[in-house]
Amino acid sequence: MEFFLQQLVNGLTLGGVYALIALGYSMVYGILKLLNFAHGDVYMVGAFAGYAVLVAFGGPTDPRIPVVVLIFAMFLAGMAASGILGVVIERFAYRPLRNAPRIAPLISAVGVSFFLQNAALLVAGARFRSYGTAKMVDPSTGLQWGPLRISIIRIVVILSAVALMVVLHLLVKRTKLGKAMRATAYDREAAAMMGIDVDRVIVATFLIGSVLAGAAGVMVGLVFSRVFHFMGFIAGLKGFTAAVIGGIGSIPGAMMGGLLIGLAEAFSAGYISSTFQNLIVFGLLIAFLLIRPRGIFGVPEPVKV
Amino acid sequence: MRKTKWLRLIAVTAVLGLVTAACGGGGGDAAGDGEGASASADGVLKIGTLLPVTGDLAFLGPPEVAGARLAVQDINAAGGVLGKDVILIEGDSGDTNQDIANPEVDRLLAEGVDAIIGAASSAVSKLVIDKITGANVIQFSPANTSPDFTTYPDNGLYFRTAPSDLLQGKVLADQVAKQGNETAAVIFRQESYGQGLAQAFKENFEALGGTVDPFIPYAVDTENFDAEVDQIVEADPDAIVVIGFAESANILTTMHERGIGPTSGKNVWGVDGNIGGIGKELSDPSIIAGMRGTEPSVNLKQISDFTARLDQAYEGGVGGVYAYGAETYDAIVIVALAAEIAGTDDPVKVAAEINGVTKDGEKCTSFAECKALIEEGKNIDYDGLGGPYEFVDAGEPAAASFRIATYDGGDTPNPDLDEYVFAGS
Repeated sequence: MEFFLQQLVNGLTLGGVYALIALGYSMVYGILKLLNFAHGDVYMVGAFAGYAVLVAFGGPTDPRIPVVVLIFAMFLAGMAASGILGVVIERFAYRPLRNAPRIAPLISAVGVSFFLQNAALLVAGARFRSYGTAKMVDPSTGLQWGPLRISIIRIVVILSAVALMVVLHLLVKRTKLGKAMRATAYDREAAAMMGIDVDRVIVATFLIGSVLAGAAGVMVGLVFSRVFHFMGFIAGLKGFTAAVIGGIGSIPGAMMGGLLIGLAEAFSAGYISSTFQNLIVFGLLIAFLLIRPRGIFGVPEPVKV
Repeated sequence: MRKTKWLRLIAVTAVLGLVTAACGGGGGDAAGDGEGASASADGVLKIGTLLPVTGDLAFLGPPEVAGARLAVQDINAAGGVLGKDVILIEGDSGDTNQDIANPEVDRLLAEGVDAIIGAASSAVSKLVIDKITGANVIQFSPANTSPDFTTYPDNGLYFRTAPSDLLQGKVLADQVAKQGNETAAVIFRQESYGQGLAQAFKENFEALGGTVDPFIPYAVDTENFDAEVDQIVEADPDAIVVIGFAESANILTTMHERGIGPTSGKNVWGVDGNIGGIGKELSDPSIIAGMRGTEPSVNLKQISDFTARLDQAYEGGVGGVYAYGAETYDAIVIVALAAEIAGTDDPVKVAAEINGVTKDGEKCTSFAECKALIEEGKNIDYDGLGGPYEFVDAGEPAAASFRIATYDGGDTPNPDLDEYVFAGS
């Protein structure tokens, strides 16, 4: 039973991270019908930005500012760096191709992905970096319930993922920008005719999606502590899988999909073997594409004449 | 509806494309471009390296890269091979997650190398062994320890200075049992290196009366080890053996967080894939104080002149990590001596002389000394910096010295706590 609960916690942590990545995928797809394969690498850059702040303030063993402030600053840096990067990518890699055939921006996305990976390799080198969270925050603090242990950093990660998703939900449902985003996603041309500045909405979408990915990058650094140039690849694929399973284009779908993927991964690693976890995750993707291609929350696309 | 199908198609092909691009490798086209360029007996011995500059073994790469540079430097200082300087062409092996090894091997073969030194990882070597040996070029690994290579059909062109893990498994089991552990958990990379070593340890440990439980394989691209560590927490063994590369830092950190690390009273053991450099991969090496591990190595104090030179041969130094530096140096010296004896740089003819260089003859310990003996027409037995070697027919040593390294809070094992044992099959 404890083992089961422990895997549940592992799955929730992982699921929160995947959900944040999936949101960026899904939002961009919703508006541009573009699979942004560089999204995973935006997340990687966020993780590196968090690391840079950590090092700038003295590293995990001897930080010059209080740990809480430091972690907050790392989140801010990761989100800012990723957000700016997302906007820049949109401006230079996707906007010029907006009216090109749909395969063109997809290829551009893969190109940006390789560019970011190799740029990170060039700048940061091939070594794995570690946030060294265990040194900043005593891993034995947190919730202890029998043999079940949830470290404080995990609680922080799960709660901040939830908080970010709530903020996003309110933003999309309650603000003018959110309304513009929904309108653009529904019909870009009609939205433009109604006086919505579509370019601004697209930039805002990339900014928000990338900020969430940056937060996810810092979270992964904090909990699983391995940051390297290639980390965005598989995480990006998982985020994409989560977005498709939840129903690509749907925001609650991305959250559900992320959670589902996280739980599937944790339980298959716990009860079968980590060797099979990718098999199960991508098996789920294939099963969904075959049986319910619009995902859990997706709506079938209206036929446009 | 057409649009949904279109999306489905794009999504599936894109994902499949990316996955295959990343995990690719596998079979190589051995024939094709190989022949004309590579098996060139042009009188100049060209050595290519395929050592980890990037990827999950890069943290153990520097001493190997430095060892190769020193060997070529020393050989050329002693007049080179066949009267000409040996040429070194460096390459990166990457790891099994990114297919760097295959294009690098293509490049080296196109440059006409006679021998490729590497890879360090057994799994990476397996990706390219057919391509290299199929092109009639020598593959000589300083660090492959998977037992699989002993019997691999390699046309007599694959060699290694590192001993098979059948030996390390035995040494490790002896040490873990000697420490008084009755039960041990093993967590290992699921590829040829991890699997071979884990299996060898398990068999030997059980033969000594111990119990191995749990026995946990993990995929090489695993990012987090929560579930695996939870299984170990549940089983509560006396000792924990971690068989991995750079990701061991992650495993050890998670173990520390869950209260089963070296500092929480567990006897934690590492192996050659992690023990030498893993302390530097941790932001706080004090969490593995007390961790011990085995690696094939001669007594480093006996070759302190050489280890000092290794530091100088690598930009920024190798920082106290010397794993397989001597073995890399020796691999190149052995190839060079074999070429001297064969009187040609034709890889197939050179390969035929390699085993003989390491045994049965007048002993010599440096390239210059051995070369002088060869010029006198004598049969030589090269005893290298990394051991006497005495290759068996499979092109590998049957006995080797092992270092038992211990961390005591620093970021490299404390050399004063080193112990050495010699093991043979």
